[in-house]
Amino acid sequence: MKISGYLYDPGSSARSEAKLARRGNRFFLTSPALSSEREVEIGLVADRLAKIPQSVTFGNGQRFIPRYPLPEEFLHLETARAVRWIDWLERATLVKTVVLLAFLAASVVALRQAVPFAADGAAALIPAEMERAVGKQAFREFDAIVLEPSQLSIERRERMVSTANELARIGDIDPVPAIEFRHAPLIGPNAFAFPGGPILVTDELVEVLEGDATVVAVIAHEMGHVEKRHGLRQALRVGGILLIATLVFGDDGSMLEELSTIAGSLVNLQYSRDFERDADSFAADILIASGRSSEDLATALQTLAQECGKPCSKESGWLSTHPVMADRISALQDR
Amino acid sequence: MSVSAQFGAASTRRRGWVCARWGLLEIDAELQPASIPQNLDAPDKESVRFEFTGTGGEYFGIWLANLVLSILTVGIFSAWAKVRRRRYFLGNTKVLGDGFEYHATGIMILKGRLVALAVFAAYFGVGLLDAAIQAVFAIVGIFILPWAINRSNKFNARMTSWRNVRFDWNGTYWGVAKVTLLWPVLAFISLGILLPFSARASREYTIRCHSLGRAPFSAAIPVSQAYGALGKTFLFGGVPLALAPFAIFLGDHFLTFIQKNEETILYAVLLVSIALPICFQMFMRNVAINAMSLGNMARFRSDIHVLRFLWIVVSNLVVTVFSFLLLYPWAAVRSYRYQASCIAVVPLVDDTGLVDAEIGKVGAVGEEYTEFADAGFQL
Repeated sequence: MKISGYLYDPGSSARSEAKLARRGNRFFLTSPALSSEREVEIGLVADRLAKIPQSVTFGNGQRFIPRYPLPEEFLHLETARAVRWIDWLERATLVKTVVLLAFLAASVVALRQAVPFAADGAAALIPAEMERAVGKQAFREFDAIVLEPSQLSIERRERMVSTANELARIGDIDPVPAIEFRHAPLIGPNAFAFPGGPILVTDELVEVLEGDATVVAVIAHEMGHVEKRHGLRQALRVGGILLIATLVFGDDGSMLEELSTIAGSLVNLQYSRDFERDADSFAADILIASGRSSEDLATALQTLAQECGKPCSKESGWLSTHPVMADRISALQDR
Repeated sequence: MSVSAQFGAASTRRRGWVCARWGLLEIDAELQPASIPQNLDAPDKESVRFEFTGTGGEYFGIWLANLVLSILTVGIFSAWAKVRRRRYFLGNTKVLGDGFEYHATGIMILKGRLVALAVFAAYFGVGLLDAAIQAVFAIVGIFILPWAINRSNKFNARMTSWRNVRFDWNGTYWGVAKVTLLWPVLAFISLGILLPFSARASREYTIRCHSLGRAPFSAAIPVSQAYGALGKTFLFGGVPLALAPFAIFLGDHFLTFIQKNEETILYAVLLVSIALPICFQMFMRNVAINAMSLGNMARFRSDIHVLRFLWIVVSNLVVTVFSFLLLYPWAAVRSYRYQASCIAVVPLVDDTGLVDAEIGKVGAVGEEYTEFADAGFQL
């Protein structure tokens, strides 16, 4: 068995056509440039991979690059058996593909369960003071760039804050997160919970909701996010997914990177919907415990859904950070 | 030249194309006879296109097996997976009948990753203790970046060979700092007016720092062509973007318009912001590769068709998403094959004179650092 290819001097592109032959465990090189056959000592052989020709480096530093992958007879040259096994696994057949895909699907399912578990475990290790420091800093930056001073009367704001504080006491939230009212034309009617507080309420939200009771109900919902550390846990979950994606896909071109970001944000949305439900139920608990009604939050959601119009009433909540409004409202009314 | 003949017909389809991808290095260019010395100007039939001989089906098997092995080993195997993927793509990229070899080993990549991981863990760990110290770390990091890019490019170049001769990278700290930090800042401050200068500087630098053995690559990109690339990019889809600043004069009406069409505008901006950089990069690739030569041995051409490439990128993305990633290997091969076929080499002398400059060891640390920092140095 002879295989043909090119023989190169060390570090040079100067080459001559040559043939590599095997007899027993000895290897011989023949070439038009050589007068006679010459025995060679095999040094390094490139790993098998698809149809890539495997270069062979000889003991004297010369290299032989065959035209084709080495035939079966030469395969024992390779040092690592693992490489041959990987190469076998890479040569797709229907059965192998099905098995590998099934494993892939199973790991996706397993990871979806494991990531929240691990992320919540990590969250428990992070001190509350650190979370609060991060939340305060984020709010300060957000405030400087996007927000304007509130135009609501001081009395009204103080009234709502004192009601909110009462709810916080009942909900056993310690320390009580600060409530910040801001005029935010760029954001519109909305409320945000920064990790560990503060809670931001836009003037626009207060205007749309009209009654203070509904605003307080929304604040109760945001308190749920703060108390249950949703911001931090969410960040850790997304971080975990991205870490896994980086480890698994690593450097596989730019497109896969973008795709893993898309996949990451879809998972992100799923988790955030779970957190919204969680915050709803927390709000309902403290509203009822304080002698108010979870209807207040339902009314607030209803008003916001009407204000928001088409996108909020869509049947599919898959791409929405918040679960379908109708589901949330009926869940609150059932309390 | 015997090898040229087989490619003659294919390469006349469109004049002047050379786009190459060697490791992190991506080289691009468009033939402009005025800018090329007379003795380098060979007729078209002499040009030989790069060729990619891999297939989607073959790569599917490699991709899937390595993905599963990476998951099973909690990511550790992905260092070896990277080597196999790179070997597959480079080995199947044929120039004048011979493919490229990639010599890095999984262990080298893994070591680099561990060091990079340690650096980043230290960075975030410090951030948890004191934000001020972390800021100092970040500033130090910026100063380390040019060094890391040099390491990375050196590693990738030295680990890649063609016809037994390894590529090399000879960048300097200040040279890299200039094209990766200084020029982009100038381009930004000038609101993009100096962008073609910045793009030209980085491409010229990347090309000139590479060599194949002792034979250096060179390129002198005419400024006018770099501005031409930017001009064509704007013609392609940037007209609305160029008009956008004037919309401010509409005042309040502008704000209401934005609020009413929020979603449409968001999608349009997203699409344009992805497509325009690709357009500019591809136009610049044509310009750069057409200005590129290898010693006095070869000249290069690139004739990537920007609209066609955009179509490939967009349709690949759609196919990949709707097949739940399963068709990703086909998409990757399709895009790579097109890009390879857009580069051609014009051999001017026999290549037997290529000699390796040095046979030295280069660590993978820099390469992984830049990957983690997402600072891949690409043309």
